[in-house]
Amino acid sequence: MLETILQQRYYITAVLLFSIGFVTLFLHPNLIKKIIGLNLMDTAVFLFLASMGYIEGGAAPIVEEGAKASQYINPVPGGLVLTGIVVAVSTTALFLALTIRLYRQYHSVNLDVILMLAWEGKAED
Amino acid sequence: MPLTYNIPMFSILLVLMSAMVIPFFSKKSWGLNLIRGVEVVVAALSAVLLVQLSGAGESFTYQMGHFPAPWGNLLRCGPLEALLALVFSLVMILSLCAGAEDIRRDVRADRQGSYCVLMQLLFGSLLAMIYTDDLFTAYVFIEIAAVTACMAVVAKESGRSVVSAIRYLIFSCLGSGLVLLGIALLYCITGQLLCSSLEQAVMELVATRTYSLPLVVSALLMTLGLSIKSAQFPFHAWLPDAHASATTASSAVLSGLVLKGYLIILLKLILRVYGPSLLATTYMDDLLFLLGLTGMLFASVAALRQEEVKSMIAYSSSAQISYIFLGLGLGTDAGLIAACYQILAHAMTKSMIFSGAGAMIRASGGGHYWSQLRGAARRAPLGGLAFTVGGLSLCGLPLLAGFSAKYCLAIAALDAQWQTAPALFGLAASSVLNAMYYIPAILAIWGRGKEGERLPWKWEREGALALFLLCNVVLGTAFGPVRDLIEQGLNLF
Repeated sequence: MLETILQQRYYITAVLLFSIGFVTLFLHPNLIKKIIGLNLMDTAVFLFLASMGYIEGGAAPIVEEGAKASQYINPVPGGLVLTGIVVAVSTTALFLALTIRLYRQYHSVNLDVILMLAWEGKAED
Repeated sequence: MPLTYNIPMFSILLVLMSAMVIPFFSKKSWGLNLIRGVEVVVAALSAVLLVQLSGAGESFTYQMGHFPAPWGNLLRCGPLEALLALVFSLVMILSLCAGAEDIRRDVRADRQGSYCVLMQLLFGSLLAMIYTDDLFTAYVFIEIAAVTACMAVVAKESGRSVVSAIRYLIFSCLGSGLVLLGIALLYCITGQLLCSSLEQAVMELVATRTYSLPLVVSALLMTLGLSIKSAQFPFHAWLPDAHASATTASSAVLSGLVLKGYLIILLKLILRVYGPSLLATTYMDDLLFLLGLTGMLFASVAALRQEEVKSMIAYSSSAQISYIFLGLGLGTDAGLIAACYQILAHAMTKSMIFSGAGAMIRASGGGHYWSQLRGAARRAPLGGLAFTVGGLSLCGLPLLAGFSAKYCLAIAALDAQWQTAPALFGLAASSVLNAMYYIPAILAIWGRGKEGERLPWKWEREGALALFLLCNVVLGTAFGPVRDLIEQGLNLF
């Protein structure tokens, strides 16, 4: 049992991190913490992908003459992680920009408070 | 390789490139004209592709950069993809024409160029979702669609639209996180990302009974993620506000097209990756069926209680999306055909209703509550007609697109096993519920209200609404040919 856990430690950590991030993004009312949750969630998937592509004793996939393919780690997950990071950065940027907008208007980063204020504003129209 | 095989790649590239050109224009109106022009070109090219592929009865894969399958990225196109691209580009053009005045009024003058860039990127990502054969590419374009759709909501820059956009973004991120984890898990056990190679790898896994739990979990994660993104019933909390607070063209495109993009990916997963038989043995299709059935009823009940026209239409979108889930969940070929028909019919109908409602809201001086909209159809006749025809189409009036989709779904339900009775009950009940909120609305807008000025005649808007009406009637009456086309497309999918 303990051995299995040790062998699978990266995957277990990734799933734990993903769950923490998911719950924070879903349930926490503070927008900044939601953004942190989003990044945790994405990072967990990157950890999952990167650890999956790692081959014990493999070198970084930069081709040298005379080396065999088996000496390198799998380069595809690395590529996926890079693309994923770009996507995560752009969603985070949009999220932050919207948070700034909301803070300027409602002077709060608590989504519950903002929704309440927005609802009152709507009733006044 | 015939020259027409380049059309999928060319149209995606053309759309994305044109988006990059827009910021260099000094005159603001050029941006909107350019993107509409490009969409007309894409529609024409897709029509050519559709005629050629359905005539020859073939589908093809296009290698990007001529790298063969395991290394290169693939596009895949058959009659169904061409048909979807054609309908999507038509809806896009018509929504942008019908909502052009609202764009000029709602979006700040110096931001109109950026709005055009957004819409074009959104369209490009939808096209890429239709054509791509690679799951990770699909994920990237899911995210692009999510970001651009959020910004299309926020373009109006009212407090309410920012609040609803941030809720939209939160749910989108939850959904795409789940999809990404699902893709990572699937890649982990199969080592493939292209749908065609995945299908074989999954079949081998099923045959040797290895990794059966991770396989089911990955399917579950992706289904869950995609249903959050397409606002299927229990996860639809973000949808009504986001669609109701955006400007007319955004609402029409978001409700009509963006939700469908995710469903096309779900369709790809079902048909090309997991295969219907695996879904049946793991009860995934029952899950989809039940989601659809509950959504049809509950979202319609929620729509009944809305006092605002656009919120009501948005809830009705969630109910209509459930029809697609119901069709996918039947697990038969006829069910899939019905789901595709509903994708097309709802794309045409819902964007028409939003455009019509936009014209009526404009004619009532920006009032969007029912009390302010009384008699609005007399002030904007064609907008009122579009709303009326669209509403009746969703209630299931024969000869209109909504009826044909429901008919298709009912036929499919008759051949199913235990699903027949619940599906037919759901269809009947939800049609009655649709009628319960659309018919009072239609009566209210045609009734006598306060006198107001007629909305000035604009060729751009009225022409687009008239074309919407025409397309709707065509989709409703040309039931046989469209159904055959979808059936051929699904066989070659």
